Amino acid sequence: MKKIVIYESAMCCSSGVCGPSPDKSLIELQDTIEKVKEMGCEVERYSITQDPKKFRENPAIIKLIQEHQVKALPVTTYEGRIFKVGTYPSLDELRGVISENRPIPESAPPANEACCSGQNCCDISCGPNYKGDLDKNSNSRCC
Amino acid sequence: MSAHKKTLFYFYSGKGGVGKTTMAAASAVYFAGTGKRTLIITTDPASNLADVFEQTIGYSAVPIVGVSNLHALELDPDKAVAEYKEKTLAPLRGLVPEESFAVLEEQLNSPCTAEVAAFERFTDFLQESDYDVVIFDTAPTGHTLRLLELPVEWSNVIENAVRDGNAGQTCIGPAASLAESKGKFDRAINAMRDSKQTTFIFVLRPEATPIYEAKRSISELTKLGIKSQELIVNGIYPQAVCDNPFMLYRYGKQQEFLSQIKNTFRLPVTLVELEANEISGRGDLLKMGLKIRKNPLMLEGYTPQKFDVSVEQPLHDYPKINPDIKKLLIPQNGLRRSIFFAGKGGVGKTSVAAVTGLWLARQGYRTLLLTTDPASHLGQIFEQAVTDQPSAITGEENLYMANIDGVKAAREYKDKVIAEVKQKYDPKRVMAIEEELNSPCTEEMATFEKFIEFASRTDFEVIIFDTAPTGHTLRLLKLPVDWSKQLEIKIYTTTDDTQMDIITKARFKEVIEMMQDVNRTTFSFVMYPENTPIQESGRAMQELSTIGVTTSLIVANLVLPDAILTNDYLKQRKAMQVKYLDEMYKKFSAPVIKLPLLKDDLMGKDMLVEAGLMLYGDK
Repeated sequence: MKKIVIYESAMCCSSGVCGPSPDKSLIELQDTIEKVKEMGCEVERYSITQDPKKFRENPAIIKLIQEHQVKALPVTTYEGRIFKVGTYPSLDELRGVISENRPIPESAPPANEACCSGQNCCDISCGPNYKGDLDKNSNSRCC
Repeated sequence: MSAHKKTLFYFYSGKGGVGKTTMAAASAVYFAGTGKRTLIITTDPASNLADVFEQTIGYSAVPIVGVSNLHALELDPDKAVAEYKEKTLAPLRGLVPEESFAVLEEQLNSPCTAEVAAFERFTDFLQESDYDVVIFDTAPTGHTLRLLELPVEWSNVIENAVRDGNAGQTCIGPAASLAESKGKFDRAINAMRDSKQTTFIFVLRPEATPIYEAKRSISELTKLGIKSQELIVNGIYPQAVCDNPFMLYRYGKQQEFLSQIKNTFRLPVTLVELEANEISGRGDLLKMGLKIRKNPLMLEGYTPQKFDVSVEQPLHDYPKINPDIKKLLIPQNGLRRSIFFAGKGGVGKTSVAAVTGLWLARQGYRTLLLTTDPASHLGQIFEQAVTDQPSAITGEENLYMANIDGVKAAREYKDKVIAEVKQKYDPKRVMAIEEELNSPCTEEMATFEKFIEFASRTDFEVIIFDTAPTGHTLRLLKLPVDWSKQLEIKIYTTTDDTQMDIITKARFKEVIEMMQDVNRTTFSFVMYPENTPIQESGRAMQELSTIGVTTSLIVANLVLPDAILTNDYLKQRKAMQVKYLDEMYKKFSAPVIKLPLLKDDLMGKDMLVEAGLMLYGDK
């Protein structure tokens, strides 16, 4: 079975409803995950403060955090390869990678260099939905 | 099973100030003296256990000096959080950059973590161990009941999360890896429900409100399946010392309550008389331990006496209204005044709050009495029901009261979130969210929301906060600061949420600034002139000052009137009070005002008005 893993920042519960204010994007994410599962894809979610070992086991994720701090989270992988950094993927994006076999960048971190030198980056991580600014000290915001 | 004898658990519980810690410590010294390996644990975040043993007690078990076989431990929630953080983040140390590590640590300061961490640690001690006896000296009733409910609630949360298999997170970790914890919680529940293993001892004084509270607790515990229960009635006046009409009247009242207890509870009841001096030192504790565990005076063979005397409150010098004190109570520059009454359990916070409320209302200030204590008896004082909406007190133009009901607040919060998500998501998703909202964290969250809501109200000139006992109040008051920090480090996923959080943060900031502004807020500690309430309040004031909150008033309650000191016992008690009153003047920079021991429990408006004159003047 195909597998998506989402590495997330610290949170109390999956929907965020137990925090100081319910987080709509997290509730939407659950909806998205439900639909992705219906497409026959396995989804796992790990929170950095609750599953730190899962982070430790994935050098690519640790590398992203080392480069961009925890602002890199959430990070989503598909079949072990990173395809979304800094924000949650939308349902369309997930559909894209699962059913349309949209290309995924070969190398792991779509970090700044990848962002500004590579070709694929703007398709996914830095695409129209990308609002995050991974590294505030850098001027290399490319998209 | 094995031949190993099961560890015995004793819980000492009850309203604040009834002598739980003393009784728990006395039994611990007694059990240790009979050769049993004994551990005494306090679950009260504002514990006096160290004061009672006059030594430092830490987060891990330390031997009690001079008592062999006895160890003690403080289940300090702050330490529990620190340990929990360390355990959680250890796998990332050195891997994650320092800046991020600091953010993660800060995120684990979430108020939810504190409840979870302290509770996890609590269940650790309800497992089999090398100790023959484990004694829990608990926090005041409301919060203890909550702590005891938690294993059941969390066990259910985990069960549901695992069953639904939705890769869910719960506040205490990913559902999938919690099976082990569930085993631990279930063992704790079983131990608590085994009447051969666990005994609950309610300590109470022969007064109306503690009886009411004991009744409530017993029914709650029975619901939880905890059946083995006993009572200790503490603070009974020895008849011989009641040789004046005032004391005889109070003695008669106590006897009345004893027969009420006898008729109400079908439980073993131990009686303990009030000593002339404080119980201090291991010798005193052992004596008390023998009294309650070896040769207890039981209510069963005791016949409460009937007295038919009436008496006037002894003459009291009514103070002139002190303009400096009055300035602390009334609104300044048209700004709403908030008055907080805090302090150790059982010192009379609710009574003093009610007295102050009526005093201000009668002077024409529109006043709200708000209790944040889940076990408050505010409604009984005014002989009318108190709800979560401000309701006018009968016959008063300017006085209103309300409470913060955690359970109801949690339900409302849940309904609000559910109503929102129902419009957008399918029933299956709504159900999953509903389940997540059943997390025990929701109640704390919702209670806090209510507190902020009340604290932001502008339709009253004065709001008087009758708070829960120290430990839990400190937590509540620090929450705006904690949550503000959480919001600062929150990582935003949509601009929508950012907007919402900016509004939330502004609300928190407003409340924090209000509490810090001495022109708008009067923080007051109520205590009786004895060692432990003074120490505990002193520590609390220190802690409040770290979040910029200044204490500006001290109320000394239950001061013995000079007119009744007719024998050595009473004189000795008064001498002790005078010594501690002196200490209060020296230790605290805020002004100290006094309320004398009254002939009856403070109930009804006539007594409140009278007490208001005694406390604030004028006549």
